[in-house]
Amino acid sequence: MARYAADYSLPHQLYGCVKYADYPHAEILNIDISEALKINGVEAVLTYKDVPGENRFGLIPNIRILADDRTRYLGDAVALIAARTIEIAKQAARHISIKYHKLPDVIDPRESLKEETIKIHEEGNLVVHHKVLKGDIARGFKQSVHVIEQDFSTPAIEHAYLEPEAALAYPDEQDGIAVIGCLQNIYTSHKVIAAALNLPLAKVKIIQSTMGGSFGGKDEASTLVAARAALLAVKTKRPVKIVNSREDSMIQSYKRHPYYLNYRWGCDQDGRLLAMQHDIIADSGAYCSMTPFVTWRSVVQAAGPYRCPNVKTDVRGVYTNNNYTGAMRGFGSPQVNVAIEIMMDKIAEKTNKSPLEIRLLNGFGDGAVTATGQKLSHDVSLKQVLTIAAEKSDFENKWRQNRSKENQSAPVSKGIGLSCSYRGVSLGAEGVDAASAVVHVQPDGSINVSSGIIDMGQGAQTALAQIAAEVLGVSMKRMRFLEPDTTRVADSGPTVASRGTIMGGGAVKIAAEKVAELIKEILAEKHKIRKESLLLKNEKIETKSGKRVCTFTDAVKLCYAKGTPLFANGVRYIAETDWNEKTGRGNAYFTYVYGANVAEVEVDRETGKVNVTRFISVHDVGKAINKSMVEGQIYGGIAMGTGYAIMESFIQESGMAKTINFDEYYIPTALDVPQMESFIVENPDKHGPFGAKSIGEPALEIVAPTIINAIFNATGKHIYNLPASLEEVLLGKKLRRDVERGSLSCKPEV
Amino acid sequence: MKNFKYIPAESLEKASQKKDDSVLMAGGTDLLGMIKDDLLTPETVINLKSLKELKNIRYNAGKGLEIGALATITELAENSDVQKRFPVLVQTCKEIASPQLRNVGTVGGNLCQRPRCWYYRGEFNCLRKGGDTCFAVDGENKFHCVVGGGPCYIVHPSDLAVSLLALDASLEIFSNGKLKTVPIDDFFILPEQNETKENILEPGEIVTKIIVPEIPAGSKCAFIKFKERASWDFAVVSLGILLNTNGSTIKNGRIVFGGVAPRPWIDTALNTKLTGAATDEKNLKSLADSALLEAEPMSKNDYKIILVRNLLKQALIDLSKN
Ligand SMILES: Cc1cc2nc3c(=O)[nH]c(=O)nc-3n(C[C@H](O)[C@H](O)[C@H](O)COP(=O)(O)OP(=O)(O)OC[C@H]3O[C@@H](n4cnc5c(N)ncnc54)[C@H](O)[C@@H]3O)c2cc1C
Ligand code: SF4
Repeated sequence: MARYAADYSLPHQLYGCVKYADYPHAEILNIDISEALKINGVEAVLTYKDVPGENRFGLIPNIRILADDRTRYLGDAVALIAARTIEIAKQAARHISIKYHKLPDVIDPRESLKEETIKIHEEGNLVVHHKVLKGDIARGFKQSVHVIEQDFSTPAIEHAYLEPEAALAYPDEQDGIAVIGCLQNIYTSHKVIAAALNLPLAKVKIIQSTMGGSFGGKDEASTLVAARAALLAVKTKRPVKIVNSREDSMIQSYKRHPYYLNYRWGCDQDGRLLAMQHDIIADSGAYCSMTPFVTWRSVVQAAGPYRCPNVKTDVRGVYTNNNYTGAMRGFGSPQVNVAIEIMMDKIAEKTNKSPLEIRLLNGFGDGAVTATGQKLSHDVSLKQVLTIAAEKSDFENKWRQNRSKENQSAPVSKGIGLSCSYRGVSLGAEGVDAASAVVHVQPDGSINVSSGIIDMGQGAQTALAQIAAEVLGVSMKRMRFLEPDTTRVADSGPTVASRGTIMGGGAVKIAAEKVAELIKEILAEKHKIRKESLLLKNEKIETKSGKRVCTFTDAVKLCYAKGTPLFANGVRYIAETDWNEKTGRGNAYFTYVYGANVAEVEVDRETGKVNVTRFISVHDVGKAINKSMVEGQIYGGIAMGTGYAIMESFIQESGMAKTINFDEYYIPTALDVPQMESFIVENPDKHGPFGAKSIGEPALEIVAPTIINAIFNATGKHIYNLPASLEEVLLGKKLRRDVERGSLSCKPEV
Repeated sequence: MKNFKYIPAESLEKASQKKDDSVLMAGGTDLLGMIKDDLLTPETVINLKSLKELKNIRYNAGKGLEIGALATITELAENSDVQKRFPVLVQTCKEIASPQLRNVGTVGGNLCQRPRCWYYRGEFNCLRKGGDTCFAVDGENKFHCVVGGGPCYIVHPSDLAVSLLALDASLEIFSNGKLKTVPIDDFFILPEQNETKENILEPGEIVTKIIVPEIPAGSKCAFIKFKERASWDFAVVSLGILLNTNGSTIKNGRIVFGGVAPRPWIDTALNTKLTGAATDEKNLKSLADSALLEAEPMSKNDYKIILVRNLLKQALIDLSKN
C-alpha cells in the first residue's frame, strides 16, 4: 500500500505551519513573536535568526528558508511555528506582528530590467541572459521575401500534483535528523537541510515517501517544507510534521515560467527560412529556482527543428515579485514551442503551403545542423513522425475542407492543427549528467533494484526493474524496487528532463551487467566453459549453442556458496556535450527525440468555447521499454497540454494569488480531455538502455500550439496569448483592466 | 478553523431559536468550506438533516411540485415526477458541481449558498464581510457581475435559483414560529439593499420548502449554463427560459439570467418585449441583442454580455421550433 508523506506520524509529534509575508515586496524591520509564544500549546516560533546554518539556497543561492532582509513574494515564510495542534499553530501565526517598510512591487517582467525599476536582489533584476548566434541575421532578413513578426505570451501555470507537499522530520537516536518527504530531488534536499541545520551530511537522512505526482514541482517547493520541518524538529527535539493544504501549496510553490516572446522570421518566396530572430523574457518570480536551466533549454530550442542559416536568440530571465518559477514538465520548451509552431503556420499561410508542406520543407533531416551548430548524428525522424501524424489523421484533406467559408462562418467551426518538435534528451550541457543504481541479487534469487531516480507516478520503478530483469534473463516476479534513500544510493542527480529511463535505466543496466558477469565467471569456472559462451535467459543459464547449464536460482546459490555476493553498483555518465555560453554554440544535448501532434477542435463562435475533439500524438521514443507506460505518458501529456492551451492560468494580482484551489484554478476534467490516440516510433539510440530515449516531456511540449493551430484552421484567427480562454477566442483579446467602468463597448451597434 | 459545537436540530422551533453565534447546516458542502477558511467562526453548528420531514419531494397534479428544502440535488434529479413534469429542473441539477457534491448538497442549501467572489473567499475584508472596500472594482473581476452591482459586485452562484425563478417558484419559510410563503423573486436581494447578504432571511429563519407551480400547458423550458470547464464549475453565465409560442409569435414567456448579477436576474425591458414578438430568426436575433442593455460591465467582464446574447439567441431559436 502506498504511504505518502502525510500518512506518516510519530508519537509526541508537533504540527508546523508558516507565517506568510503580508506584502509581496517589503523590508522586514522587526518581527515580534512574543504574543505567539504565550499561546498555550505553542512549542517553538522561529525566524531567520534561529537558522543555525545556511538560510539561503538554490542555483543562485537566494531562496530563503525564512525571509530575512525582505519579503519578495506573498508565499514567503517570515516565521515558523510548531504547536501541539495545527489549529494552535495557525492561531499563533496570527499573533506574530511584523513591522515592514513597504517597497514598490515589480509585477510585469517586461518592466523588471528598466533602469528606474527597484532592484529585488542586490545583484540586480537579471537572473540570466542566454544567447545563440548563427550566421548573419541582418543579411538573412535582407535576402528574405517575406518577414513576419509577432508577439506571444504564455501564462504561469500550476503543476497541480494530486498530493500537496508534506514532510515529517524527527531527531534520530544519534543526534542526527531524519526527514520523510515527497521530494523530487532528494540529493539537493539533503544538502540544503544539512547546511541549514549546520550538520554534516552523514547526520541527515532523507527518506523518500511515495510521491503523489510532481511534474517537476517537488524540488525547491518540497525542500522548503522539509527544511522547515527539520528546523522545528531540531529546535523542539520532537518530531514535527508539516502538511501543506492545497491553498498553502498554491501560494508557496513555484510555477511554470510565464514568457513574453517576440519572434521575427524571414523566408524566401517558397517559405524556406532565411532568418530567425527571437527576443524572450522569462518571469523568474521572486527567486532563482531553475531559471538558468529552463531558459537555457529555451535558447537551444527556440528555433525549433528547422533548418535556417541565420539565427539570433536572446532569452532573459528576470526577477519580479510574483511566485517564483521553476522546473515543470517541458522545462522551457512548451513556451517557445507555442511561438515556433504558430509562426510556422503563419509562414505556411503567407506562402500558400499547408502546415505539413512547410514543415517538411524546413524540417531537420539526417545530419542536419541545429541553431547552435550541432550536427545531428542519430536517426533524425522528424519527417517520419510528421508523415505518420498527417496520415493517421487525414490531415491534408481535413485542413483544406475546414478552410471553406461555410465552415469558418458556421456557428460551430471545425479545425485541425499540426505541430512538431525536437527535444534534447536529459540535462545536456546544462549540468553533470550522471546517475547511479544498485542491483542486489539476494541469496534466494530475489532481486532488489535501487536507483536515485524517483518514481513520481510515472512508472520509473517498473521500467528500471524491467531493464534489470531483461539483462539477468529473469521474470519481473523476482524484482523489488527500493525507494531511494540518501544513505543507500549515490547522487543520481534530479529525476528531471525526461532522463529517468535513459540515465537511471542506463545505470541499472550497467549494474545488472556486472552482476551477470559475476554469475558467468563462477559458472564458467565450475563447468570449465568459456564465460563468453554463457547466456542468461528465461530464468536459466545456457550456452550459446542452447545447452542448459542450470537454473538462475541454482546459479545464485552457487555464487553465494563460493563467497561471491551478487551485488553491483552502476554509474551511467555521458560526457558528449559541450557549450560555449559566450557564443551560444555547441553540442547542447547528446541526443534528441522527435514528435508530431495533430489536434481536431470544434470552436463555438458564439461563445468562444473550444472543444478539443480528437488528438493524435506520434513520438519517436528510441525504444519503448514498457509500451503501456509510454502510452500513459502520452495521454497524460495531452491532458496537461490541453489545459495549457485552453484554460489554465495562475492569476495573480499585485503578487496576490487569486486561484488557490481547483474551484478557481481550472485544470481539465475527464470531460474536457479529447479522444486520444498514440503512435510509437522506434529508432533505437546508442546512448539509451536497449536504445530507449525519453517520452515524459516530449508528450506535453507541443500539445498547446497544436490546439491553437487547429483553432486558426477553424476560425481563420490566430491566438497569440495563452490560454485560448473564452474572451480570447470570442473577443480576440484578453480583457484588460484599463477599460472604463460602465463602458459602452458592448452595446450593440445601432 | 475554530472548534465548534455540533448539534442535530430537534425540531424546526428549536433550530430557529438560533443565537447570533450559531449557524444552520444542511449538506454542509458550502458551509463547511466557509468554516474551514475561517469566513465563519460559529460557536454552534445546527444540523438540519435530522428534520426528516424537510426531505420530501411531492407532486400534486394541478397544484405543482413541493420540494423539501433538505432534499438533495441528486434526489431532485432522480425523482420520477420531476423527470416527467419538470425536465428543466433535472437539466439544471445535472449542471451543478459534481455528482459527489450533488449527493450531499441540498436544494435549500443551493439557494442559500454564499457567493464565490475570490476576494470574499480569500483574506480580504471586503464590503460583504463588513469592511469598507469592494476589491473587485479595481481588481480581477472577470467573473463578477455586469448588472445590478454596487456597492458589491458578486454574481449569485446558484443554478437552481435561475430555473426556479423562470418557473415562478415560491419558498416556504419558517419564521418566528410561523410559516410564510414568499415568491422566489422577492427572496433574493441586491447589494444596494444590503451588501452583507444575498436574500431576505433573518437569523433563525429556515427555508422549509420550494413550491413550483405546474408548467403552463404548451410552454417549453430550458436551462443553459455556460462554464469554462466541462464539470465541477460554476456558471460563467446561464439562462433559464420558459416560452409559450403559437407558430409565428410568442404568446408569453420569461427569461432569467444567471452569472450576470448579484441575484438571478430578470431583465424587465427584455421580458416585456416577449409577448407578441414574432418568432422569425431575424426578430429573435434582435430580441436577443436587446438583452442587458442597461448592463455596466466592469473592466474585465464585458465578454459576458456577448455570451448572454449569443446563448439567448440560440435558445430562442431552438425553443420556437416545433
Ligand atoms: C466545488 C463546488 C462546486 C460547485 N458548483 C456549483 C454549481 O456549478 N452550481 C451551483 O448551483 N452550485 C454549485 N456549488 C454549490 C453547491 O451546490 C452548494 O454548496 C450546495 O447546494 C449547498 O447545499 P448544502 O446542503 O451543502 O448547503 P450548506 O453548505 O449546508 O449550507 C449553505 C448555506 O445555506 C444555509 N442553509 C442551508 N439550508 C438552509 C435552509 N433550509 N434554510 C436556511 N438556510 C439554509 C446554511 O446556513 C449555509 O449558509 C458548488 C459547490 C462546490 C463546493
Ligand atoms: S464583489 Fe462583493 S464580495 Fe467581492 S470583493 Fe466586492 S464587496 Fe466583496
